[in-house]
Amino acid sequence: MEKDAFDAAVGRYQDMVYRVALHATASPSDGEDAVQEVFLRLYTHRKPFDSDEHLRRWLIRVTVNVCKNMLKQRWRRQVPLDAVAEQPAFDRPAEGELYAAVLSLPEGYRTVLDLYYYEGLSTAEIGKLLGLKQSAVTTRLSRARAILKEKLGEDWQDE
Amino acid sequence: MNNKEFYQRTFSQVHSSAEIRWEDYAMEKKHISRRAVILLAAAAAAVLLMGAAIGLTRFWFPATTPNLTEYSAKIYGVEPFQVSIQLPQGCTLSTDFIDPAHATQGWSPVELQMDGKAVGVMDYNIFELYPDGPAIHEPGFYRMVYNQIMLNVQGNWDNDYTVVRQDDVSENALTKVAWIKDYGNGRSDNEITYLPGILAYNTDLMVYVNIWVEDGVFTEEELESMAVSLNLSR
Repeated sequence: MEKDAFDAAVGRYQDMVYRVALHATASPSDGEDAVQEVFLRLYTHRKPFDSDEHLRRWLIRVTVNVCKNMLKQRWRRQVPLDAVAEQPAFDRPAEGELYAAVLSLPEGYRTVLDLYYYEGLSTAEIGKLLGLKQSAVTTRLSRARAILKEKLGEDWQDE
Repeated sequence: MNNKEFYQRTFSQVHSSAEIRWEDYAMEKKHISRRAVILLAAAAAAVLLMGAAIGLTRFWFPATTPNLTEYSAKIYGVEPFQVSIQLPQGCTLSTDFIDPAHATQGWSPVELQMDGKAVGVMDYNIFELYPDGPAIHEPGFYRMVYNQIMLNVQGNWDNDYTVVRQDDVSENALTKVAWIKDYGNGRSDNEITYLPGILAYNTDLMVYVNIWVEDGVFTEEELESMAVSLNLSR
């Protein structure tokens, strides 16, 4: 990829890649490692992207794959989660509670939540990205919502 | 504020602090990707041919690295994964190739041998899923997974694809490999030979394994048994 296009992609999508990686790994440090790895893959990517949306979805897909491998390696290293210790400063206490609640969910729920609520993908699109049936995505969303409702009370609305 | 707004407001305050600079990657490219090469070399050294006599044969990929360049090692090098398969009586897997041509087929070939003869090749590859592609097990999904070998002209694996086993993340199938031995000679009347093939993918590992064998060596029951038993794991 050419330098100008690469720099533009970093400027536009670095935080998105980090968010997806943070959801997948529940670890800010692993999330930052994933950011480096994903953009290295973008650097070596040879095929042009049809559109900005194509690039965005490619980055999400690659981030998910990179994190899958990281999680397997982390399991072998027995490295503890560090999410709680490195929580960012939020504008409101409820946001900090949502952050902690999301990162305490099982891995399979976290990425689905991010792709649905933040990236705005449909359950069908998420299924295709993650290699899951749409019904499995819907189930994970439903269970994740129930846990968030239990943890956050009124701050999390019924859907 | 609804849940979506709450979620977006929260996680929009989460930022990456990594410094991503084109110049750093350009500099890194000049150095050998030692980690990938070491990983593959270690895997090659750790090739395990276990239980060849009876029961499941277990094998670790990547097995060999004859065709990997520094670039392809970085792209196609994967964390080692295990293949287990029920091989017919007398059949073994080996990276001590009887047919030298098999050593250069694919990224990390392993030869199937029987009675001192080479009877096939097993290899692996990685794959990517595309946002606009079909979901797992939907029509066309397997073509997205195996696109590199199903778009081949000389050795095309997209013939009589028949699923023999599947679960939420994997699928095993029997297929036929249309092989044009003399492809490249410019003739349009080249003979096409159909060889038995076995394919298996796993979306958790994002890898697939492909096996072709010489026609007539194994019975249909033996081929199906191999295909059903094939399992990819870490």
